[in-house]
Amino acid sequence: MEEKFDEIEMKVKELIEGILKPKAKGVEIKKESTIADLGGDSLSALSILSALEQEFNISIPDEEIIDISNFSGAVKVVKKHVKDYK
Amino acid sequence: MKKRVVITGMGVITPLGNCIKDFWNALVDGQSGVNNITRFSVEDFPVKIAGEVNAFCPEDFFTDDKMDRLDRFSQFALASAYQAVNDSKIDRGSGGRDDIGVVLGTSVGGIYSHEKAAEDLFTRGFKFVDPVSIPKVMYNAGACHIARHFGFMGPNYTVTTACASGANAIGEAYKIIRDGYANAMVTGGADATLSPVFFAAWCKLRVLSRQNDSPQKACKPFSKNRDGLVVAEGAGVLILEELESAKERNAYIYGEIIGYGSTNDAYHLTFPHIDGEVKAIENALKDAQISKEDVDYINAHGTATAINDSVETDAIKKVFGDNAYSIPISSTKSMLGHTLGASGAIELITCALSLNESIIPPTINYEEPDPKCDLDYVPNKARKADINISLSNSFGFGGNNAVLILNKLNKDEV
Repeated sequence: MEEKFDEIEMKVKELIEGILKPKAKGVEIKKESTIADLGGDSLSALSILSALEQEFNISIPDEEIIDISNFSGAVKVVKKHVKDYK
Repeated sequence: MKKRVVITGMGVITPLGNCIKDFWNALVDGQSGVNNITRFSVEDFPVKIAGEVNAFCPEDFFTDDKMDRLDRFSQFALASAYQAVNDSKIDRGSGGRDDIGVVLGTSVGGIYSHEKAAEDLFTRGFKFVDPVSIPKVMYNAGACHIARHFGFMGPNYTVTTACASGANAIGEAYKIIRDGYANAMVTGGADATLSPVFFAAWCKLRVLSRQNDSPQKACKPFSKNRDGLVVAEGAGVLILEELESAKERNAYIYGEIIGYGSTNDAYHLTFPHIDGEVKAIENALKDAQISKEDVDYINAHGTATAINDSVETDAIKKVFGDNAYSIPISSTKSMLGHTLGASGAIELITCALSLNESIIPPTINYEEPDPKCDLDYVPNKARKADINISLSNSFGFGGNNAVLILNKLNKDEV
């Protein structure tokens, strides 16, 4: 069954797809995907973090970088910082 | 005992082709790789021409999805190394090899990534600085990517001596094998020079040709009507190998590096000085243990600035005496433009191909004899010639001089 993504999840998914290009390797982003599953590493996490800050106009503190190691963590971080998210 | 060092593989990315065959055919044909700049806007610039590497797709060489972590200069280096390693057919080992290293030359490393990060910071703000900027910009990135990609764990460093970088890198790699510190080395130079701020700064130095209306005719080394150099981008990478090990595996040998001379003028940041150049050539001849009458071809630094070409001509005359008039000399920069840190490597590759093909590429756009430059510059048309020993000059800003000498191996030695 196809997973449902909300608006923020869709945007995060799009950003991660742009950076890691998992589709080229036939890998689909799922909610439980880790950055490693998608072919990324610690430098990729920095690139994703930077893209999230730009897209959502937020500032993510250093101690939350660790949460960017997987898709759901990245979404959680965004939702925490995007003020008008319901 | 000193080991002998031979070339067993070569690869290039240049404005005249992204493989040895295309590159060499274009050189022998006397083509120019200089054209209008398309990579960025040059609307306000007095110079609008350069030797751009076009039709280069990193994907043609690699399927690595992390190519966007490589500055263009590292992409050039890796793509050239890929060709050279394949050409040499050298064994990469099952878990890599610690007896193969990398010494690469570059004058400006990841300058484009540096400028991009600066633009993002100054115009858009901190959030927009690429977090991978440091590993893209660092000068040793090219050499490290080659080591990582092929598993070559031997000596690894980056040489930066402006326009002499490529030649100095090859000279240092030659010494590493000669002195027994590695069995083989990946070496050469790479520079992705066409970045807007860097190019603007070159324009400000007022040493570039301004023949915007006829780009292919702009670079005129040794010709009286020369008006400056043409900046270009590219890379040249060679596999150097210890002679016995190359013979053991029946590798094709392009030639033997027999001499290397390296000096500094200790004079001026941008003006050359004859003494430093003469000493570098003499040191290379001494290292090669040959007499100056043995040199059959000189690939000149030949940038097409008024000062370089006359000082280089004087240096050649001072070293070779009357014999200077009978040595064919050519500047392949007339066709490629000046690839800065890559030029010494691309030009040694040119020397190696000249030995193997018995053809000397021309100095194109040679139109008017200059009384200050009165040697045989192989004007406009390639020339057939049996060459056993060729010499390549590279002189850089900062007064850095590097000279390499290449010898064709006799059949009974291979």
